[in-house]
Amino acid sequence: MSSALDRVKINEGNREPRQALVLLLDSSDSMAGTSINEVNDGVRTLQTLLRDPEEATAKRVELAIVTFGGTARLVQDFVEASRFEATPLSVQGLTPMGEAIRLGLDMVEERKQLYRSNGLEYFRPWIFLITDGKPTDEWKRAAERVHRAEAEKRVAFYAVGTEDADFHILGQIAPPDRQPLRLKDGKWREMFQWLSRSMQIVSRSKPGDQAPLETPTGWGTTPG
Amino acid sequence: MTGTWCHVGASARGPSHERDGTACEDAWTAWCDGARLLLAVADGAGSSSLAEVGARIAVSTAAEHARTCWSSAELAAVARACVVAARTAIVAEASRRETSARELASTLIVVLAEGARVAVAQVGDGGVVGAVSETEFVMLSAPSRGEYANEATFVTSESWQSDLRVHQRDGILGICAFSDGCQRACLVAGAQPRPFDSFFEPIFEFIREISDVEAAQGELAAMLHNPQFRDHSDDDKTLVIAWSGVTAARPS
Repeated sequence: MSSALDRVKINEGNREPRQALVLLLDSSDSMAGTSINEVNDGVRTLQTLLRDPEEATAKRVELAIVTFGGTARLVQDFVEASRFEATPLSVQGLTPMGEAIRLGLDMVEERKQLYRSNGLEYFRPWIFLITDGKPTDEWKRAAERVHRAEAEKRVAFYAVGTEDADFHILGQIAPPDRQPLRLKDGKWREMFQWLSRSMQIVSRSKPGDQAPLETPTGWGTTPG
Repeated sequence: MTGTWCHVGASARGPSHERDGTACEDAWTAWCDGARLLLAVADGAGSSSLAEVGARIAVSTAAEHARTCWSSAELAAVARACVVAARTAIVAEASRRETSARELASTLIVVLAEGARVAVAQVGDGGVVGAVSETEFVMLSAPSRGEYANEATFVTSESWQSDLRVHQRDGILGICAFSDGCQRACLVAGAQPRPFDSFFEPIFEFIREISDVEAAQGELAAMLHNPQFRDHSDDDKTLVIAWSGVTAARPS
């Protein structure tokens, strides 16, 4: 081998393209018991699957978690999936979903600014909301912001409700082209597995790819 | 001041296509004729069923158009016309196959050089770096991308014309054109990407040292297949290098 080619250095400073994922998790009183346990298990499943060494997700996905129970709280600021450590969530209070949504949208825009100023490539960020009820705070402005962000392709917003969720309101919050899903009874793990696989699909998509996701019918239904 | 151009290039199928058992979707071609040089590099869209066909048509049409329509006085215009001709040929082939042009989608880089003047026309990503001396390098044409890492424009895209960039520069001794499988390795990313010197210095030294072109081609291909390159990107990789054999007169 030519000695000159042996000396070719690759720029290791160019880092992986980023896939931001914000989880907006209902931690209101009504989630006490089974539901919050399932959410905690699910987040641990996400942690394990995103760190799969066979996939690009560990280095590409950046996970943030906002809970809404009593207040909207940032419990995990963006962290690379390879370094994410799930901590158990607890429940309290009412459901400030509107505030959580606004916070999630702000975080996404700030993160993109950070990527741009650091010369990092990135994919379209995701916001994934899970609730068992309805907002107890102002939510219409949040809904407008969600719709605008989707129309401008600034974010991909997913909403999931359990059996007891208010789909009339959730349907107004979710983007028109991506209506909320109702979680099938007991299918929490399947939902979190779908979310990990979706992250694998989008975070390795190449320029020009359509990157179709798996259908969520294993765990979710479209509320009638 | 004229120089004689020489060139060497290689493509390597990336780990991703090796796993899928699909073909390399990069294509390239080059010809030189004394002081004149053409390089063309194309990268077929991963989601297009006939991507490698689109890429091959793109480079061969561009090369043929340059051969027949060369104009020393209008290098940049000819480079642009090569891209237009490539697009027309792809669209015609799609029609012949009764499929949509989207199925033959490809990026395209066309480089025309005469003496120390270089013109580049480009749609999509990948890029071209020029050497103004043995140790100083400049971007001749930078990759374009949409906001998101998986957005790209192809010669078959609706927005191909607004994506088409044409540049011309004098005082160029060496050229390196590459597909996007190499671009994160060889560029410093940022709002204005720039060449990564430690990549290009040995690359241009390599071409200056060549005595056996075929052997050199093999060495270049082997490099693109080596663990360093494979680990860095799953993608197909193409690298085409040219040198004009002119020693730049240093300003006093």
